Amino acid sequence: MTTSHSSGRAPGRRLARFVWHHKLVSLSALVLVVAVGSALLVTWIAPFDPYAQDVAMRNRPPLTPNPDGGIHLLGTDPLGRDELSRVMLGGQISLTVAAASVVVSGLFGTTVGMIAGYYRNWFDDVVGRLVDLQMSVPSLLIALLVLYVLGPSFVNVVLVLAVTRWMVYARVSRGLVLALREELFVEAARSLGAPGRRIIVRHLLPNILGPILVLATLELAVMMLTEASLSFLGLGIQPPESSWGLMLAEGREYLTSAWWLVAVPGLAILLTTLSVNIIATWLRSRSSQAQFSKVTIGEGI
Amino acid sequence: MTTPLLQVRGLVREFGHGPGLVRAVDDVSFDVMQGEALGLVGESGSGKSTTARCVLRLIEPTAGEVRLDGEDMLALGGPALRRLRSTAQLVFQDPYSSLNPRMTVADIIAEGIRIHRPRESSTTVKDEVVDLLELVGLRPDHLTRKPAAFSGGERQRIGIARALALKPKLLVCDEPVASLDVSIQAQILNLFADLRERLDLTLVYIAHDLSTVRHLCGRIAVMQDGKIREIGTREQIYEDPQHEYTRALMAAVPEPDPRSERAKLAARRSAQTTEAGRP
Repeated sequence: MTTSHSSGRAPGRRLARFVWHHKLVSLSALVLVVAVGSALLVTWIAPFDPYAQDVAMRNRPPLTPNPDGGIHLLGTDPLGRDELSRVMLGGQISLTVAAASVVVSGLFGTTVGMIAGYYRNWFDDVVGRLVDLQMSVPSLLIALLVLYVLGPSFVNVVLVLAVTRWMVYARVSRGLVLALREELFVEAARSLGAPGRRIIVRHLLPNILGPILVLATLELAVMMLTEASLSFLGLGIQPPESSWGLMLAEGREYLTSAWWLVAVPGLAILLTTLSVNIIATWLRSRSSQAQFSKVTIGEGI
Repeated sequence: MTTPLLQVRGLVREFGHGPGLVRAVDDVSFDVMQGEALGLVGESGSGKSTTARCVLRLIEPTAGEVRLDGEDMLALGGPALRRLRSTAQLVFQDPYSSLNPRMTVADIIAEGIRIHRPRESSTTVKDEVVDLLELVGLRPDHLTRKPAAFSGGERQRIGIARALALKPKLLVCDEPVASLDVSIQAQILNLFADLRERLDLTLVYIAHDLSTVRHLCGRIAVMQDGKIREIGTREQIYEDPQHEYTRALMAAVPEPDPRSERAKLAARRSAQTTEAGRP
């Protein structure tokens, strides 16, 4: 028996082929693996204690050796903390906030959108108006207002981010469900006596999951940027915790004397969001859902 | 006299409103007795499928009365309607879009059982599904596959098994063979005839030509423009059609013998050219 040229090979060869054909996607995946990996393992692999202050070593440029051994690869911050360890710690919170808010807004928005699209009753009208209303107001403004009232905390930041972005999922899932509900298999389920809840969960959800997951990937980048903006403006993550946006804000006043305090978290934000976007675009091009338009998912915050 | 299994009276369904209003079903009435097979024939757009969907209340009729097994189908709602739904089931025309591509065959067929008997043990459900598969001529090892792995005819068998899972008394077939290969059509038609006998099923069989209805249905209703033009036994319709539309449909049935088919076509062509007065 002969095997076809792609299936019979060792996994390593196939991975190599994939990397060769999708260089940019592979690079993005690598960046994400490094970002997520260092965020998860920061306690074990950080070169220095990210909370340990050393005023004698404040604002040292990258590659400065520490007198107690080791090298501050990315320099130190105004409190003498190792910038590399700080950026790993910041990534932990930035990525967690982004992931958590994507999950919350995705679950809520998709549920609402599917219910609205399937039943097409008063609920659909209410949701439609609400989405239009929220689309017309800059979401960062809403987020700032709500956080100002509630007070910044991890949970509040996640909830606020979810509240400002749920309608993206609601719109996409509603649109997909509007098309799917006319399919005969939905009619078949109704004629079997399936209640609406069952049709939504068993028949509609599995058929819209692909596009929704791609959308969620894109939203991950949006959420990271929004969290960075909120923290930069002082209403997101609070010290002594750290996030990339907060590090950016803290480094701003030293911009002329210590460029790495802005460049390092800035690059971290840039590289991860860019990688997420590249992977999301690739995933979208792979999914065959034609009705999954760029318009519905293209807008940023 | 016993009461009919299905009683339809003055059924009307309108689409649109104002000047664009269309009466897709216009004052349709008929009865179907237990064990009978009624053919519903007409060209596309004549309101056959809309009638079927109104009867099963998959779309709401504008007016009229539907009695299924003595119960008023249109007065019920919610759980009571869902219970009654198991009495009448539908087989769809398109075996592709009528099966959820993400579900396995086992889940598709078992769905009705799981809806109406949620507490049934999974082994009982599986046994019933296997029986249903055998009933429609599929093998039990097909259970874990998705619809994409099957041909049109096999998919239609899955759809039939799904409809039969609830042990319905009435099976409404909406052009179940229209989108299948001719060679498969006969198999599916035979399956219906076989199932009817074995399960004592009552059939409402919708088709757009008279030939497929002929050996399945004892009584035939001819529909045009939302109205029933003629309803009668197979012998009446085929041997002594009263309405001109019925005669036109009869003329469109291809003759099995190519020589008589050619003669028929030639006769029609000459009739058409003299009528139109073309050179």
